[in-house]
Amino acid sequence: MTRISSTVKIENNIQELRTGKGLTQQELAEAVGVTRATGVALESGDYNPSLELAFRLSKFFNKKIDDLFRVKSK
Amino acid sequence: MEKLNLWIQKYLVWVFPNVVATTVWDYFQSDTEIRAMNSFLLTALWEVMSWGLIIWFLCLFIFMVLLVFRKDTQELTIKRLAGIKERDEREEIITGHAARRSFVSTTSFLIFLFFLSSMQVNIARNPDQAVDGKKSSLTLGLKFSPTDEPKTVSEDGKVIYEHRDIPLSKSAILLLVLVWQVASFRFRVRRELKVT
Repeated sequence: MTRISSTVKIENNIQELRTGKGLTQQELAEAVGVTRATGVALESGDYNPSLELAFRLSKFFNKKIDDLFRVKSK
Repeated sequence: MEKLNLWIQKYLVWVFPNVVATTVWDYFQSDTEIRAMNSFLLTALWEVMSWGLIIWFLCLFIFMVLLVFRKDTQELTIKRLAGIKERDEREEIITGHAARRSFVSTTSFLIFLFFLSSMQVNIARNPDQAVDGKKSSLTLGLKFSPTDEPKTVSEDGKVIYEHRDIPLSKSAILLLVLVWQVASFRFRVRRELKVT
């Protein structure tokens, strides 16, 4: 059986996509229904979002979840 | 209900200095002494402050009941305690982690205090009565009593009822809080498991 470590670090490219759209952190946070602090933590990789938020981001940027998030290679 | 919550919380916070002031004033001058001064201004001020105190206690009671049973009051209180203006999934996780840790630490602290309150240590020295050649003794024990020693009753018979504190012993209060904390936690967990 393959064991997956519980301390998987997940990277995302939300910051690039946000700046690409010319949005501020506040605007993106409001668009996906979170606080600005959560938006900042998401972009810096300090917070792994819930599946629901991941889908909201995916829908907002019109990208697949795989295109937004990936497991950080060691 | 949310407005009532807000009003009660605001009243409790803003009128708290009045509660402290009334208590301090009452410590130095009794109600009879204040009235004996025959000053309209002082008596009026004392009346207003006393009514403020009575309403404050009433609000505190309502707030405690709401805090136990109402989810919106609990959310509002957690938000204020955590210093968070808005709530989203990340803040819920943060407050959840904080609550979990504080729950465990409070429970362990309560268990420690409970055993401390019911523990009895006795070190005695009896030079005249040596037992097996030993003149000192150390006794350790646990004693649990649900109520404190009975209080003395007014002998002149003037006082019909007087309330000073909770008629439970320290151990009983600690045990009650401990049982309440663990039972309410388990109840909430079970309810949350049913919902999700």
